[in-house]
Amino acid sequence: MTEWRPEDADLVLAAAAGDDVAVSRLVDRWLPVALRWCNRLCGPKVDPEDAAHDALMIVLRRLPDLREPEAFPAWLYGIVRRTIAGHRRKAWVRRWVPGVAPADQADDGPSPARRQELSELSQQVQAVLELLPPKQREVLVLCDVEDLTDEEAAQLLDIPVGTAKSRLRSARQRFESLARRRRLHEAWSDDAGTG
Amino acid sequence: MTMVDEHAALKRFEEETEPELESVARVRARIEGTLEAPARGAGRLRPHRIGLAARALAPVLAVVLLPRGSAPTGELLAETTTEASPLPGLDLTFEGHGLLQGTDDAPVIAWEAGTLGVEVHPAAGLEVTVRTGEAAVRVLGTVFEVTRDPTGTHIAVTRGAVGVTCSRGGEHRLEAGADAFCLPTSAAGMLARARAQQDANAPATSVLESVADGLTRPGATDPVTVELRIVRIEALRDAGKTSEALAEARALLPDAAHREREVRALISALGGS
Repeated sequence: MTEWRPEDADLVLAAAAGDDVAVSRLVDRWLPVALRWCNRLCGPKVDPEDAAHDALMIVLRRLPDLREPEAFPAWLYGIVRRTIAGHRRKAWVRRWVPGVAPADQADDGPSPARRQELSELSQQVQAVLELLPPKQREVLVLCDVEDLTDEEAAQLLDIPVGTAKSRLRSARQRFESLARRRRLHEAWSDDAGTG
Repeated sequence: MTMVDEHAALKRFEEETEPELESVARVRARIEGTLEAPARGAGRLRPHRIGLAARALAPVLAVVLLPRGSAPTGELLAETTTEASPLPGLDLTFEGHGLLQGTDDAPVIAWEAGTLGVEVHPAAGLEVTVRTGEAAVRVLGTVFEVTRDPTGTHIAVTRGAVGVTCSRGGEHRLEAGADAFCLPTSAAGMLARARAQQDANAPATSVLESVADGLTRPGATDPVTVELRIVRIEALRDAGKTSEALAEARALLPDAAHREREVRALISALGGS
């Protein structure tokens, strides 16, 4: 795993044993990674900061249960993806339960915060990613956005490398097809022309 | 649409979804706020943990989170050093930590915690900026000091002038002898400020102002809101407004499942049942 360093194992062990400084170091070491995953996988309806916060709180609560410190990145990723899935379900409920949806979440567009952060092109990419099945979306994000190898993605997703490869092939084909249909190339042309 | 276009689009998406320093800092503050919450009992902070976290982690955070495309000088300001002249015409004295980044002509000091003294020689032609979570100080050739603690960021100018921009407000010029204060930007930050005010025995009215402000800030998630409301109850109690505090505590009870015991203890202490 590209972000894993040998010294991280000691950090995880110390944090799991309740060392305050280690806990804090672990948060600052891996929070940016978790937040990056959330930024890329949450979609427009879920606040990535909320998801990252909740995921890290689960990590800190369950850290003593982690048997092998080397498994920390995949373990963390598993918690992040489950947390995001939970937030996505809640976002869906907020949209559809009358009286619960805040006014600014009632439409299908990106949240105001996301509008500020992402260019038109990236919003289009995000919209296309949202159309992919979750398993294809995450392998595409891990390999083509996070730049992980097939092996690294498979390790993170806890699936065989062959499965990751075939999922990635399908994801790329579908992304290409959807991008064409959503006219992503027009956003790209506009973006390239103006930027 | 060619694959080249799609890769370029994904590349743009990759760049724009890299977490920003401010975003990580916001989440980190929320985590700290949540970690602190259960340990308070009916009211006290655990400053040890906050202090350790801030001291141990801020430099690591700064190194990890250098934004792509910046041209950092890569110099870390460690606690062990108290004076430094990282660039000709720029003298620093400090007790705390942060990161020097930017360029040789336009250095940017991302100050995390503690006190930083800056002296910029006008003849050096430097465009120096000091940033904290709440403030950006643009140096116009001067001597000044920036102090960041849980209550916010304090800027005091000794000589010359600086341009100060708080996160919530426009830039204004600060002349020699003047000072300014920038409040935390997030709800968790305001919670930390309110707790720090309590620890410093600040007037209850000041604490109540921080709480009211915090409840309107970004990141006022349920756990942070509950903590802010608990602080409000304590401040009302400290101000002698017992019946108001009791009413607030009773109103909070249904929303504070994870703090039920503490809230019930407050209600009991306030003479309720």
